[in-house]
Amino acid sequence: MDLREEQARDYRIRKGALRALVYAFLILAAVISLFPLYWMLLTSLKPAEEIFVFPPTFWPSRFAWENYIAAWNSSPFGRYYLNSIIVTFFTTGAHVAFACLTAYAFVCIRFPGREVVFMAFLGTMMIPHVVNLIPSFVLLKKLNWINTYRGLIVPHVISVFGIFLLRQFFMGVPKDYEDAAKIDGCGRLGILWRMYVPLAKPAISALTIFSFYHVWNDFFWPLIITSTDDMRTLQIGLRYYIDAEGGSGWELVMAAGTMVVAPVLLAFFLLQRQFVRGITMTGLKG
Amino acid sequence: MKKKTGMRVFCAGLAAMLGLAVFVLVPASASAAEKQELVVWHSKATDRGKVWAKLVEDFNNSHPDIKVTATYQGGYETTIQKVTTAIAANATPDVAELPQSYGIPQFAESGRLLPLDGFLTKEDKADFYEPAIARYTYKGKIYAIPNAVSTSLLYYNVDMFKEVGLDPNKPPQTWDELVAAGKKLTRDINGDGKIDKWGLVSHTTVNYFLYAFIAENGGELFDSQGNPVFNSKECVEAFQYWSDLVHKHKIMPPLTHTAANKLFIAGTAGMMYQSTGFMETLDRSVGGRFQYKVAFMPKKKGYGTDIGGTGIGIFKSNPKREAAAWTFVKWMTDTERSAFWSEKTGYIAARKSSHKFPSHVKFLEANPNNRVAAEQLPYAAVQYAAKADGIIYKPIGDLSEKIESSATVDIKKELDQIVAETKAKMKQ
Amino acid sequence: MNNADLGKFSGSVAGLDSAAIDALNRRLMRRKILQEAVTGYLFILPALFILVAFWFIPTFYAFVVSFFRWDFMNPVKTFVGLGNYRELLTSLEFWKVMWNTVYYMIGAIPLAMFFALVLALCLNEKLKLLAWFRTAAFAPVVASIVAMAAVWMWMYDPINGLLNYFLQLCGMKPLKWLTDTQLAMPALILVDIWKHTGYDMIIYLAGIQSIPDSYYEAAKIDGANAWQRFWKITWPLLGPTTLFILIISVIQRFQVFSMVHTMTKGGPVQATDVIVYYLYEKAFVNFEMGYAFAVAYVLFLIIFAVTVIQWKVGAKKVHYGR
Repeated sequence: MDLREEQARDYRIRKGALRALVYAFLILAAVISLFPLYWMLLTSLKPAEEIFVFPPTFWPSRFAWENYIAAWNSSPFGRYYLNSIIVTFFTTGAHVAFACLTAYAFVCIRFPGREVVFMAFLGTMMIPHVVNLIPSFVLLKKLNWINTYRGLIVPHVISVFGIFLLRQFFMGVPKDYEDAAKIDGCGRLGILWRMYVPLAKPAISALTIFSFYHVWNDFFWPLIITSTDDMRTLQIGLRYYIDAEGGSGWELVMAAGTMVVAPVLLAFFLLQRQFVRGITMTGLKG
Repeated sequence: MKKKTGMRVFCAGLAAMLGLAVFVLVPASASAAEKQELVVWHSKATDRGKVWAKLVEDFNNSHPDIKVTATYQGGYETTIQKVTTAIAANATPDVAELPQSYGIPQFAESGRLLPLDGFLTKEDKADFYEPAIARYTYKGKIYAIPNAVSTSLLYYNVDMFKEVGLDPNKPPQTWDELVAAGKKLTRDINGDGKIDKWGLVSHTTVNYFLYAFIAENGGELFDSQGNPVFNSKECVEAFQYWSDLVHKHKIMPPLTHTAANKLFIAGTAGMMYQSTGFMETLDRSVGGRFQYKVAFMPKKKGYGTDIGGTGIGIFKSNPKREAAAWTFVKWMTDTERSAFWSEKTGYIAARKSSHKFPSHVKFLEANPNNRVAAEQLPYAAVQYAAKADGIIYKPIGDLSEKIESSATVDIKKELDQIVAETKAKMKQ
Repeated sequence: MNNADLGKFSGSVAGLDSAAIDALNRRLMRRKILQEAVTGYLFILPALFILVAFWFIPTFYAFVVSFFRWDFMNPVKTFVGLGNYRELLTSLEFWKVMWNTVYYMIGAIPLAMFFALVLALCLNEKLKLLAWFRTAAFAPVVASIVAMAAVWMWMYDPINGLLNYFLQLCGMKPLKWLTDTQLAMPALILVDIWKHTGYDMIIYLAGIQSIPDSYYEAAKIDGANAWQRFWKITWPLLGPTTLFILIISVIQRFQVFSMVHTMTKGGPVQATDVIVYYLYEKAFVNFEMGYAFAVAYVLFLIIFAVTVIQWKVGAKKVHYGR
C-alpha cells in the first residue's frame, strides 16, 4: 500500500474516532443538561397522586393537563406574560444599544478618567443587589415611579456586564481597521456601526441572549417595585406559586415553572440560529 | 450607500424604541373617586387568597362608601420584606396582613403602624384568645388583630397505627407515650438494615416545635421583662428531648424537615409535627390513600403549643383613612368573619365568640381534626412580640440542626452563648 | 493606552518655522484632546447618568448607613462609627460564611470553565444536530433559577429522591445530599456547574468564533496538529475571553444567593451559609441594616481587590491583539 494512502487512512480513522468521542461527549452533556428540565416537564404532567410514588415513574400514567389549567388560573398569568415581554423587550434593547455605545467609548475614545469610570462601572457589579434594594426603592418613591413600567425598566437599562463583554471583544479588533475607516471619513458612530458592531456580532448576539434571559428571570427588583397584579412579571407569579404550593403541590409548581421557562428556551433556540449566522457574516472567516 | 441605509435603520429602530418607550411608560392617570379607597396587602395565596377575595368583595358590597383593593404580596418572608421596604420609603398601604413570626416590634417602633387599642372595646380584648393576640402585642399595645391563627399539631397516620397495633383513637399524650408509639412505628420492613418506616418527622418550622416543647416543659423564651431566658433548665430539657428523638430513641430521621410533608404523604412516616394550616393540602395530596388524624402536641408538665399565622394591622395616614381602614379590619376580624375564615381555610378562629357561633359549632362537629386544633389553642404559650424574635430565629434553628447531626452537643453551653449574644444585641 | 499616537500630527505640516508648528500642534492637540473628551463623555453619558442615579447614589447612601445602627424604619438611628465593621471583622460567623463562599467559588468556577471550554470547542465543529446540542447545553442557563432549584431539591431528596434512586440502582448507599453537613455544599456546587457551564460556554464560543480562520490555515500549512493548534492559537487568543469569564465568575459567585435562599437557607448547621445570604438575613430578618450594609462593603472591597489582582496579572499574560 502506498504510504501516503496509509497516512490518509490513518488520519481518517483518527478523525473518525475523534468525532465519535466528540459526539459521545456532547450527547452525555445534553442528557445531563436536559434531564432536570425533562423532570420538570414530566412532573408537570403527572397526576397529583403519582408524584410521591417510589420508585419514580419516567412517563406519566396519563397526561394531567389539568395541572396547567390550575397553575394558569392561580394568578393572572396572561397579564404577567405581557408585562414580562414589555420589560424584557425594552430592557434588553437598551442593554445592547447602550453597551455598544459605552464599550466603544471605553475602547476607542481617549477621554480623561476613562479607566476610573470603567472601574467604577465595574464596581456596581460587586455590590450585592440586596443592598441597593431599599435605597433605590426610596429614590423611586420620591420620583413616584413605584409600581410603574418606568420603575421596572429605567433603573435597569444599563448592563455593566454587557459593557464589559463588548469592551473585551472590541479590544480584539485590530487598530488599523479603525484608522483605515477614519481615513475613509467615517464619523465615530459610523465606525461603531460599520466596523465594531459587525465584527463583534457573536458577542452582541451572546449579550442579547444573556440580557434576555437575565431580565426575564429577574426576580428581586420586580418583587419590590410592584404591588399590584397588573404590574407583576412572570417570575413573581412563579415565586408566589412556589411559596404557596412548594413542598406539596409539585405537579402544579412544575407546570408553572414550565410555562415560565418555555418561552425563553424557544427564544434561545430561535436566536441561536441568528447567533450562528451572525458569525458567518462577520467577514472574519477566511 | 447600503451601509448608510443600515445606519439609518439602526437609528430609526432606536427612535422607534424610544417612542414606544414613552408610550408604554406614560403613567396611568389616577381616577378621582368619591369613595374612600383603601389599599390592602395580604399574604394568602391560591385557595386562601380566593377566600380573602371573597371576603373583600362582600365587604365592598356591604360598605358603599369604602372601596378596598386587596393584593397578595407573597408568603410571610416576602411580605415582611415588602412591608420593611414600604416603611423605609414611606410607601405603606393602608392595611396589611402581618405575619407574627418577626418584625411587628420593628414596624411598631417605626411609628408607621397604628396602635389599635383605642379602637378595641374591653369586650373585644377579652374575646380574643390571649396567646393569639399576644403575638401582636408589643410594649403593652396591640398592633394587629389576629385573623388567621395556626398552631402546631401532631398528625398521625391511622392506618399505620393499626398496622403496628396502636389504638388510633388513643394518640400519644405525653412525651414518653410519643416515644413509645414512635418506636413501634419505626421499622425496617425489608430487612436490609435500613429503616423504611419512621415514627416521627417534623416540618421545616423546627423553631416553633422547640418553642412548643419549651412551653410544654413549663419554660419560656423571654421573661415578663422581655429578657431572653431560654437557657433555663426547662429549655435545656426541651432541646435535649429533641436530641433524644433522633439519637437516643431513633424515631425521627435527622435533618429531613423539607421532606417531612412528602414522607408523611407517602406513608413513610407515621407521625408528623406540622401546622394546623396543613390539613387541606394534606387532604388533597393523600387523596384517600390512608386516613390521618390530628392530636394535641404531647405534653410534659402540661400541654403547650406555639402560635403561627397572621394579624391585620393599619398604617398611619390621616384620620379619615384610618377610620375607614379600621372599619375594614373590624369587619374582617369580627365573630362571623373569623368563623367563616376558619371554616374555609382550616385556620383557627382567634375569637372565643366565633367558637360558639352556630355555623362554626356545626363545622367543628363535622370536622374533628379542626376541633382538636381549636381545642388546643387555649393551651398555646402566651408569647408577646419581642424585638429579638428575628434575632433568635436563626441561631436556634442552627442549634437544632447541630443537635440533630451530632449526639454530643453541649446544649446548655450553646444556649448560654445564644442568650448572651441576644442580650448583647438587644442592648445596642 | 496612552496619548502617544497623537504625536503623529506633529511634523506633518511642512514649511513653517518650528515655533509656529509647535504652537499650532499644541493648539491642535489640545483641541483634539478636548474633542475626544467631549465625544467620549457623550458616548457614555446615558450609562453614566443611569448608573449614577440608580446605582451610585443608592449605594453611597447604603455606605453612609453602614456607620449607623439602624433598621431603616426607626426614626432614631444611632451613629456607631466603625462599630459595625469592627463587630463583623471580629465575628466568627462572618469568617465562617466567608470561608463557605470561597469554598463554593473554588469548587464551582474552575470546573464550570473547563467544561465550558471543552463544550465550546466541540460545538465549534461542523456537526450534525449542532443547533440542538447548543440549545441543550444552554438550556440550564435560561431556565429560571427558582424553578430549577425546586427541581434539584426534589432530585436531591434524601428519602425518595431521584439521585438516590439511581445510586441504589447502581448498588450504592443512598446519600443525604442537602441535609448532610459535608455534602450540602458540594451538592450546591454541582447545581451551580450544571447551571453555569452553558453560560461560560456561550462566551467561549463567541470568543472562538472571533478568531480568524486564516490563523488556523497558516498553522495547518506549517503542519501543526489539532493539539498544537489549540495551545498555540486558540488558547492564547482566548486570553481576553478567559480573563473576562474568570472575572465575571468571581464577581458573580461571590454573590451567590438565590440558590442558597431557595434550596438550603444556609443550612444544615450553616454549612451553606454564604456571604450574601448572611447579609440578607441580617437585613431582612434581624433588621440590622447598618450591619448588613457594612458586610456588603467589606465584600465589595474583597471582590474589588480580587478583581484588580486578576486584572493586573491578566494584563501581563493576556494578548489583546492590538
